[in-house]
Amino acid sequence: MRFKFIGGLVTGLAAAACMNAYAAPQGGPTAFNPGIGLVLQGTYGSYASAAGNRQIPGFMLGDGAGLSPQGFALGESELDVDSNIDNLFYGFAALTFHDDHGQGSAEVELAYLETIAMPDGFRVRAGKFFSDFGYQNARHSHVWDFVDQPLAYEAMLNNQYSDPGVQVTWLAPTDTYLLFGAEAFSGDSFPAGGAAHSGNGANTLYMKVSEDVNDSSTWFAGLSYMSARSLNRPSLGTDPFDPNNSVIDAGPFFTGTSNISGADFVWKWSPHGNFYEKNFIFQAEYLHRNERGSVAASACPVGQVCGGSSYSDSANGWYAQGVYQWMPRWRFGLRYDHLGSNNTVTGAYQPAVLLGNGFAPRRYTAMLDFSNTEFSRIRLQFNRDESGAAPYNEVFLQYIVAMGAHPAHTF
Amino acid sequence: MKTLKLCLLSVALLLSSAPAFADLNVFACEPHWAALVKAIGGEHVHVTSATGAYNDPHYIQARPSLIAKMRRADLLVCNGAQLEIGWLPVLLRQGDNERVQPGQPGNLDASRYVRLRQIPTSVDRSLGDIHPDGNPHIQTSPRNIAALAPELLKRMVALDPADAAYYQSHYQDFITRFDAAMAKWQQEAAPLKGMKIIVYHDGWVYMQHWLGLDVVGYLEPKPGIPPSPSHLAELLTQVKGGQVQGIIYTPYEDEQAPQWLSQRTGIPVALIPDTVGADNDPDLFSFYDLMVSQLLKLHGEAK
Repeated sequence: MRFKFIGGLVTGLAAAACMNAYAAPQGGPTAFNPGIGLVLQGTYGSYASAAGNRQIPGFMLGDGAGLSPQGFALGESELDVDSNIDNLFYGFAALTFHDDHGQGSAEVELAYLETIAMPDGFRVRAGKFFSDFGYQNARHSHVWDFVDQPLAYEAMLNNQYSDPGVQVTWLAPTDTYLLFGAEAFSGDSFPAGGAAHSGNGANTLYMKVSEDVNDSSTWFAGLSYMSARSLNRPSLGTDPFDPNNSVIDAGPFFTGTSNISGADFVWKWSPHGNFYEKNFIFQAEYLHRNERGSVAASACPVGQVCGGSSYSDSANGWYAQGVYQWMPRWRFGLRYDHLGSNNTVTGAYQPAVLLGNGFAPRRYTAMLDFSNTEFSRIRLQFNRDESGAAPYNEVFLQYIVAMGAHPAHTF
Repeated sequence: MKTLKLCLLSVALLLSSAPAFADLNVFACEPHWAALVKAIGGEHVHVTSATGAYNDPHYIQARPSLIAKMRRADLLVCNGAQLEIGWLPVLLRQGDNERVQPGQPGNLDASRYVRLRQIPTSVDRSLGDIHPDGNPHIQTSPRNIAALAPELLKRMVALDPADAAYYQSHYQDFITRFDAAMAKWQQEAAPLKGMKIIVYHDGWVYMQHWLGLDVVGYLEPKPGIPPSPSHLAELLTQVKGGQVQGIIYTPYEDEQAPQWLSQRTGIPVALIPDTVGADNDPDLFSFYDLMVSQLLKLHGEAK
């Protein structure tokens, strides 16, 4: 399979080199600058302090899980730069800025290049990017329909899985949209972790299919599979002595493999395709995960026996949500989340977080948002969160604004 | 895992050897270009339009079905000037089709072949959804259709030389009839010169110059911002005694605001499609026929 892709790339390069660029008048020199956009997000969160100590019984969480902070908080602000690089490549980079109670940080959230002129429907992407596993994973936080990700994504994909890697997709030449994709990632981030895999710790395969039912309705469906390997993957923990609930890497430490399968379905409706006037989006995903390996109270050096327990799980999670824009600019949404786990831990070490068998974490969400234009949105959200040992009510107020050039959104 | 990979590979090999058609596959962003392609290409083209007369071309979704069509297109024809900026870049990137990328003969950006109006000297989003390259709604004047036709013919001949003679004869036939029709429309529309109208969105500037109309107000307070009560109240005081003779809106714009203003002022209101494809409006001739007749009707109704 790899040879075919390399062959395609070589053919693509050769074909592009032979092409005559059709003379098209150009604007001034500014036309060559990349599109630069800044997305600002901020939240106000209101919930009981105890809800901030995020634990979902039955699941070891990654460091990306958790509620947005209590009170006023600067959410993730994102600086996007995107441009065609030349006649072969398109490039995109997103730098994100966080502010955690006065401690600022910046990170390269995404940075990748992508081919635009390969023959026969092939496309290759390389760099750091959100995996196209599932429907919700690759969506940037500023286009989410709710403040937070579905519980299944929080518990199994650390909210949103991204890593450095390579993606190859092939779009079938059919009337029905039919896309096949494969990805290979370094596997630094949850659900992978550690470095015992020679720099390739997570792989995915997926297919997506979509058709228009008529000029008002479109359905979209996908099947995805991810396999990730971990060595001493830490779990989300909270420091009980820190009033800010700061996150520390803590046990249980997991070593083994996580295999996740997903199915997603989306239905979008708008009268004659006029999304701006009125629209309805239904979205649902089901994820199933098998983890197999061992858990230990502390990171265990390779080749040593550290008194961990053997562990396996069969977990599942799903959500269904509907968002209705009943008039221009105003939307209302409902979402239901559900998780289930079945863990087997054999050994002396029995971490409390894995003793969740029989408990079904769930959450009920209602959302109302107003978008003055496609560049600004204000949102109010209410969660009845029964994902932890005790139920909590959570209220969020959020703004999302986009300045400057902004890449067009995918379906 | 291994069987899945094999399965994907065999499907890929099977589908990538699908037969190629000699005819041109054309992807039009808007239906007026689809109509023009059909007029020139006849039975030698398969043409599809991403938007219709009932769609606001600013705001459609980058639907996967459109990506699938982009994948197989030999020629892309669009208004350009950033009208399609909210969705076309995604289709171009995800369509994985090198033939229709900018700079290729298969990429025809109509805005580069007409004189754009309303090129802003300063651009600021507080002014609403303005287009920095100029007003992109070029199809509201048939002169712009006629201006693009020779370039479209050139591209079609370059991409499908086998059918060159066919395209050329159809082009000649079309342009002769279209020139005659333009002369007829201009003559019919002579009484409209100086007619004051209010429009919903600032999408009629080319029609305005073609027929000598005077657009005195917009129902949108700013381009892309829906009509607000305060803006409508302002318009109401502005038009009182101002001899405004008509209010126009398109099939994809909400009728509430135009009807509201009409009821309070007695100014007649008309629904005028801004592209081909609304009811009983199959081609470019019927499209401009309808435009001119609706405007004449408004003109006759006005006191």
